[in-house]
Amino acid sequence: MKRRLAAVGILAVAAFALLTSQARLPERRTVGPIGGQILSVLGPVQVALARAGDSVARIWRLYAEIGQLRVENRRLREDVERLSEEVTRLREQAQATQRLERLLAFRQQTPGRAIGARVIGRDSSQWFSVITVDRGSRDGVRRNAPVVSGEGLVGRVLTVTPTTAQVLLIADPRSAIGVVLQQSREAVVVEGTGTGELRLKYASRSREIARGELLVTSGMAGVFPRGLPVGSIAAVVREQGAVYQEATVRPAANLNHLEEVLILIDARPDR
Amino acid sequence: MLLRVALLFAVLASAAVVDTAWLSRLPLYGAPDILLLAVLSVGLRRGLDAGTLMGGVAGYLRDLIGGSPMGLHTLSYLLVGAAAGAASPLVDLHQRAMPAAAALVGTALLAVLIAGAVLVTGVAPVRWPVFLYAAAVAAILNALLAGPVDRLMRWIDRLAQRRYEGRMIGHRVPR
Repeated sequence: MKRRLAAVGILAVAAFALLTSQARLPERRTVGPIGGQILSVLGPVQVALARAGDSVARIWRLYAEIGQLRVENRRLREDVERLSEEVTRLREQAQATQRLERLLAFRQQTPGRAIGARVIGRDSSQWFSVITVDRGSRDGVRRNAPVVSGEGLVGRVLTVTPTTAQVLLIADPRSAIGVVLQQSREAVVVEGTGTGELRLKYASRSREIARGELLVTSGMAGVFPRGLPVGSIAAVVREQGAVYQEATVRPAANLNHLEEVLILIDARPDR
Repeated sequence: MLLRVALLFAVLASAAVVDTAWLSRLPLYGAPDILLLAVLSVGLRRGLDAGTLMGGVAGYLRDLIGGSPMGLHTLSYLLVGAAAGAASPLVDLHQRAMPAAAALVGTALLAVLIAGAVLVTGVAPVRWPVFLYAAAVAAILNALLAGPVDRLMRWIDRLAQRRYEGRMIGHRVPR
């Protein structure tokens, strides 16, 4: 046993001597001829193993990246959905702002006090054109108060509750408004047809009515103030033998897409 | 005998290459040491001489392939192999936890020997936190891998024994 331990000691001393000799060398490493031979044999194996390891690592990274990409893809989809909702909301806000700006500009041109109202309901039948707004008698709304949008006349208040009001649109068949043709100043009547368009009646045949000519309220019926835009001539009907000529009028306000309106509280028709 | 030596050398060379080419690149801040596990297995089963020789050759290969100063691992593995061989009569090789326990103790001993050699010779600065952390990770990984490596070494031993049955009388050969 002592001899074997001595052999171990000798080997250890030899290894230590090898280490200390390496430590004294400037580059601290010399493999020698045998080491060089072993390295030349094992080097290619090591290279091959390292390349195989690289391939496995690449495949693993790819696999891991696919997982990360799935997670990222899901997150990005959620982001896209969230941002789309945000864009839609902002677009809605922008459109609402534009409408409100037009209403504000219109309000400043309109005599008397006016209050803004939000459309909260619409008659679902195809026969009548009535909307419900969120302002009522508590806000000072009275029957027959004119209702306008940023583009022009919308209608008049039909019925009032303390908190809401129903507005008869100018397109309703029950609606008839006294208007004047803006260029000729001829007073005529515009009636609703229930189809979204208006019918101009009682226009003298002595004068040609041009397409696109504007109509504004005459202020003579005692309901609407003078000068509110009502619509423009879309088509003229001149029947043989008829006393008057008629025309189809396109409303100035987009009656099918009303969201906010102005109710003119104390508009004076004579102003 | 030659077949056994050739097989063991091939195992050690392969282990050294695998250690340096693959295991050293694991992102674990510490790598398992198959060379050490092979040395411990042979030392514990075949005694002082085999353990010392196995350790010396393993350390030499580690120095050679790993690029460390020649002699650093040679000395450390040689002493670990000798210690495993010297402890051989004292351990119960049939205990299932023996390879893992031997790996833990062997890894700690190897770390101490390498640190001591580095300090004495001054071949490199010792960054103790990194060194101790890497040694702890290596000890855990070695303990996990000790069982499979020990079974591999026993299989190689039996392979050589079948060829040279009769010449192996006097050695401790497990079933």
